[in-house]
Amino acid sequence: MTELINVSALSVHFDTDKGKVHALDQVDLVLAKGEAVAIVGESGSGKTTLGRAILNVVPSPPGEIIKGRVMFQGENILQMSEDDCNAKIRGKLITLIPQDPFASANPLFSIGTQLKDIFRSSGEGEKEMNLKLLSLFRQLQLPADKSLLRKYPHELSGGQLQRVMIAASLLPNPAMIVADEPTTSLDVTVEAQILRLFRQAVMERSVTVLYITHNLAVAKKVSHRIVVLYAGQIMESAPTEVFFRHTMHPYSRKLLGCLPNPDGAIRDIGGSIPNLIDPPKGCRFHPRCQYAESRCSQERPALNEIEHRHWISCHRSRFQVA
Amino acid sequence: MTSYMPWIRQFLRDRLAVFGLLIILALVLVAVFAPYLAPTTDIYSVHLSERLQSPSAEHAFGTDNQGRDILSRVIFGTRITILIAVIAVGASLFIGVPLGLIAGYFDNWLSGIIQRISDIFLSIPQLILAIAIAAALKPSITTAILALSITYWPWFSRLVFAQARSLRVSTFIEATRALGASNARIIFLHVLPNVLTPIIIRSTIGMGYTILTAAALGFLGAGAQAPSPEWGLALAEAREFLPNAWWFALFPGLAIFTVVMAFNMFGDGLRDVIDPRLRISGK
Amino acid sequence: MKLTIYIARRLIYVIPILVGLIIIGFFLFYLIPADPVRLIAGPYADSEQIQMVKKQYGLDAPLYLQFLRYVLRFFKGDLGVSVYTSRPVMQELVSRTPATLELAAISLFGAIILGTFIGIFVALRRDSWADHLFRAITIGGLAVASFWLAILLQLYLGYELDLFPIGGRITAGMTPKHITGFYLLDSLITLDMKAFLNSFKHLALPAITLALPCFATIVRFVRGGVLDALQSEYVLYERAMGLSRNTLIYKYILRNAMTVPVVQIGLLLGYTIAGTLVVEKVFSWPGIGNFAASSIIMFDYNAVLGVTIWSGIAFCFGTLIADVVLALVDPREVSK
Repeated sequence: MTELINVSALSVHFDTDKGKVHALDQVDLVLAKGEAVAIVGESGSGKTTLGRAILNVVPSPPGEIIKGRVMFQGENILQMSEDDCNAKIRGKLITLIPQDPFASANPLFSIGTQLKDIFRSSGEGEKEMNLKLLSLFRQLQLPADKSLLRKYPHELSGGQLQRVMIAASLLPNPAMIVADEPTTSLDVTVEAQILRLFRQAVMERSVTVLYITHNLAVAKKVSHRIVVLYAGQIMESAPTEVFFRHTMHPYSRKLLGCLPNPDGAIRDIGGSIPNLIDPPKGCRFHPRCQYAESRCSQERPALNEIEHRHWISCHRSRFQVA
Repeated sequence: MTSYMPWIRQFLRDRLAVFGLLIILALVLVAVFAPYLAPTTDIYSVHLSERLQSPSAEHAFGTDNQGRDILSRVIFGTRITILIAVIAVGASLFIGVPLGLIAGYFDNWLSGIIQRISDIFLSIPQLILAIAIAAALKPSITTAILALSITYWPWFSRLVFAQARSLRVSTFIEATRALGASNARIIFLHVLPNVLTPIIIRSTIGMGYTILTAAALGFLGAGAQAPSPEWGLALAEAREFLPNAWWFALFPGLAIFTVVMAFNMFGDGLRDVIDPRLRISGK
Repeated sequence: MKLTIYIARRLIYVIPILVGLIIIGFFLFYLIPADPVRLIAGPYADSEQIQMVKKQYGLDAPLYLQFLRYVLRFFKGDLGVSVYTSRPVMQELVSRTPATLELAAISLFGAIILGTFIGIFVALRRDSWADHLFRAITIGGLAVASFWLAILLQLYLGYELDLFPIGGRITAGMTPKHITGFYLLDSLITLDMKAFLNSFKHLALPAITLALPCFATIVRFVRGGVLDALQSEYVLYERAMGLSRNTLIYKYILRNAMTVPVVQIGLLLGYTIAGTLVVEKVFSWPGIGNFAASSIIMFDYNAVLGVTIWSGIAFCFGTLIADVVLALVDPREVSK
């Protein structure tokens, strides 16, 4: 499998009134061409920040990428100039599907105007772009006519607007799409439909997808691989079936345990997400981990490949965790 | 008290706001201790031989057209300013907040009427309405206070109305009602605490605004009357003697500016601390 | 079509406000004052005149009858006679409107246009010296008493430095031919450049004074709006999708920023209408504000009442126009 994007040692801080929030800590992530990877994490785990960092659009006051590289097609995105990034990467080779479509579309302009401006510099004429767009609409089961383009964001339903966003993300034939919880703000039935259409569209084009979500069930449906993020640290990375069959990391196991179970028991993880202004040293999960030993609070475990293409970050990875 | 510490600490970091607060405190002190701070307490008697003297060692702000020491008059004017501002804003609050609560919490003919009336009051700039009221009664400081209170309460009621109305349909109020709480209880224990923040903010902003309007009333002759040392009135009196007696026009106006500035800075800082969502500074 | 419906709805809403204004006028006129007769006749009337006024205004009739007559008179356009000028109040208001409208319009638009650009400018240069400078100006601008500023400007720029005239609307004899009543417009139409310059110079100081609180308010809110927009989700999305910074700012954020003054129009109109009273007085500007200011000293109640109703109407129509503009710029308004 050829590597498309290689994130290494990515660390991001946010400056807030209460102090510096260490949102991401030495994150390593590799996506292969055509691979769909789901980043799974609770709120506050830093997954949205990760997606934004890849495009280098982390809001710069208050955020700051203090370390790391994002190697894409031989270049480090984080070192590229703004103009280069805009010209080559953003909205062209890598696109974004935002979490809340209504918050992400400017309410004062029609959809058509915004799409036209976004894709203006792609070199295509407006006509060809519109044709492509309309065929994408059709594929996503949106009414495929120009009147949709004249509408304003608030005139569409959540499901429709999100489909427009998905179409926008596919339009420039990107190498990669960062999908930031695209179905979180939608009803369950709409969600299922959109997931299906999205997966189809993606598979047809062999686009690499970084799917950000907090929902394991959704992650299972859309991904080849699952990466677990906790408090800004990668805990586990495994092929999807492997993950659900025998995940290894204590946190992942707890996550799976939280899913509603036929036996009716309600399990939670106990404890709460750590304060990222003063995060736990070493492995950030150790305060809530039943297997924690003294090493866990001192030394951060590296990502170990414990079996083929299955990595976990845990000091006890040598053993089978019972 | 300890639960307010982080707020107090954050407030103290805003130097402008602290500065404003200090000036306000100074203002209060000046008003209270006016007789001791002013060079002379004799601010009403006429000394024509000393009229319109420019600032000197003896009269730091100069003298006015009747030979009275301007510095002393400005200091005593502080009392009038505070009196008018506190009573007017206070009265508006006590009229406006209950009306707003009633109008917002209940949804009946009464709330409709209250809304219409405050809409009408809000559609006329405060100064003009205040003038009309002052003209109907005989202009004086008392009528000025009355006019200001009558014209300012809609600001409070509108503010409170919005909050009360949105809380009315909120789930937690429904739950409280389901538990059998009476309306009065709900309004006082649950709705009121939630509207306190905007009320406090509006009050501080209102102080500055009221002081300016009161001074305008004094300037136009619809408020304080001679021989009161009210600042707006002083500026009106000063006009006749321009361009020569520049000090006569400068100092009372400077006093107004300082006080209103202080309230605005304090109000801004207060708002930044207790309700960042209302920030217009875009922090 | 949606827009026309929106405008119609807003117009209809103005009616209860007008009705309310009329009622308040009556209330203020007949019910509050201790002696309405004194108010109409003026404080200098003798007993014979008082009797005449009583009969003329039917103040000896029952209250509901008085109210009816008052409303009828109102619709006939009879607002009484001004004690101050001895002319019908209605006539005074109509003849003085162009002067005030010209001053108010120039001040308001100047404040909005300049304020919006400065607001965007400082928002993009946050915490720079320019940002701090304008922050000081905006805080100070809202704390300055208009009449004080007017007096100071008149003193220093008028008397001392002689850069601007100290009062009036135009130098006697230079009035341009009357077409609209707006000197700037009329002098441009008739190509009377001398008159144009002259009236412009007369406008300068009053307009600056009147515009200051509006300017300060707009800069504050636009700056806040732009800063918020820069942090918003849609700016992030547009950046992430490679929208160039220039397009982003000058097309999108500008539009978002422009809605700000429109939304604050109530506040701005309030400042402007109230401000004309004192500004016109200080600069001897022959408008409605001056009329009101003079009337109050003379206890000319008819005049004061007339001005109150006039300003209520002006406020209503001002906010109506602003709402229509908002609906044109922000498509969400029409759907509400």
